[in-house]
Amino acid sequence: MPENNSTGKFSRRKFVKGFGATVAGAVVLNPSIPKITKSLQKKIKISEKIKLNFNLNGKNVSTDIYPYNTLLEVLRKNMRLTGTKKTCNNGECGGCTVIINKQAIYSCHILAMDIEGKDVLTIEGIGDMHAGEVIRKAFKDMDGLQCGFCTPGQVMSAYALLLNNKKPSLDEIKTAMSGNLCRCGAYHNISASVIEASNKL
Amino acid sequence: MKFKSYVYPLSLSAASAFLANKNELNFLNAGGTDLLGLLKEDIIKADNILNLKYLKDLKYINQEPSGELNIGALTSISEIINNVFIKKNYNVLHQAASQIASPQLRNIGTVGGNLCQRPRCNYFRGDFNCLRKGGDTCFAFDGFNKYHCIMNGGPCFIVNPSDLAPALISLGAFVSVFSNGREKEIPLQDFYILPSANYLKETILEKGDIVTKIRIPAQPRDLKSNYIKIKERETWDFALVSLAASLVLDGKKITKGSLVFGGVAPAPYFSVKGNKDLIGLDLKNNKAIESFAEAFVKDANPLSMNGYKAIMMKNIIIKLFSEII
Repeated sequence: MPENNSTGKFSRRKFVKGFGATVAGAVVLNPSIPKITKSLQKKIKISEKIKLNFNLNGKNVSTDIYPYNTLLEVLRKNMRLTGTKKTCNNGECGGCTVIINKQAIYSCHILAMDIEGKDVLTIEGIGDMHAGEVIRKAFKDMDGLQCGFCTPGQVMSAYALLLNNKKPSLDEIKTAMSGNLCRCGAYHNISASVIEASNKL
Repeated sequence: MKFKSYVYPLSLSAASAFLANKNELNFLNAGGTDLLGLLKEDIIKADNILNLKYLKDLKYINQEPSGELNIGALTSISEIINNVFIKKNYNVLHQAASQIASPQLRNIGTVGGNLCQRPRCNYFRGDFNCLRKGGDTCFAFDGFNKYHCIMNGGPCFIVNPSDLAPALISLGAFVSVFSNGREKEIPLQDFYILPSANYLKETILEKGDIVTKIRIPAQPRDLKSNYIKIKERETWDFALVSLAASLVLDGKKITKGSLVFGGVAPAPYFSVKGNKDLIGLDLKNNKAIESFAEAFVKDANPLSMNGYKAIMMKNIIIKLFSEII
């Protein structure tokens, strides 16, 4: 069946799309959703949706979340930024690394409520930046990956390191990258990629 | 994750009052690195989570004119590592902080949280109704006990997982606890309790108590200190055995000092007699060092799979002495 048929019937895809938009619209327009205003709002029930405001990749955004949502869930589900990976979901592997206020952190291990008003940078946000471009090219040139699943997290950790230390030593690189696991074992080339990137920056 | 509501206390006393509610199980979210793990694995059941992250006046590192150092409980581990004064004067604290978990966790994990973290016992963290979770059996005693304690164990055999605690105790640090509207200060070594006293908790903290500050008294100018942590992986692991040492040397002779172990007992382990024997020890005399280390591990009482920790304890003392000269 062609997607935009003229018989007036809804296609399944159109229906799902439309339904999603209706639900999202209802949530956004609901005026009863409270803002996190610390002086007014002291206790937030877990069944209540909260409007969360933060800076995502340079843009101020706001989205509705539940208090139990992690930042990772908000990035992937609410903001549809799936470059940040959900891997162990337990603060152990580094696949979900993002940068908050210039520091690398595990987005699966922080409640989204706690990033109200903060600057969040994800793998999608550094793509257009010079440093992001250089690091990406270094990972490609030095073969700093095999399957590539851990790579967004590795790149974010490398970015956080180079943000604070322009010419890191190999030991400093190993320390800074130690929170990111690579099950393919591409560690040697990952270190080489970070050195290459630091030389090019 | 299961909890009923998320609370923003506006002050320390409000947080304490909320925490003290007898009918509810409330928990503090400082860095959240341990809390979120416990919640995700359903190890604790929480009614309310109290967010402390906005209490700005608990986040500081202050160097007093008297030489004392005060550290706020909400100071992150990274801030300890990056503090130049600590790096220069308190090597043991710098080294201990540098080896905690991974950079991402050090960036949000706090000093207070590191001191109060729950044990890493595989049965406590796993799906077992063990002694510490209100059950009636310690599964480690007859089970997989490779990572459990060899000192002061029973009826529960956890080890204290903190890296900062041994380092701070070796420096003679004090911890301040906000309790019932007042702040009280106690030596950090008295902050931890053994399972023989109470196997349901690891610290003296009661409902409503909040750790607010660490105070390190002024240290001798020529203090030599170090922290060695043996782990199974080279990085991002808890200690099998760790040793914090703060020593004052006269030539090669120790005139003052304190050794504190991590990873061997349910609380940071030190021996009053061992620290007394330390005085006068000649670091050039290998035989004396060997017998000193031997005496330190005499009290070890290993389980079926962790006898290696006693050997490690002995060797780590020898290693530390050879490196500190």
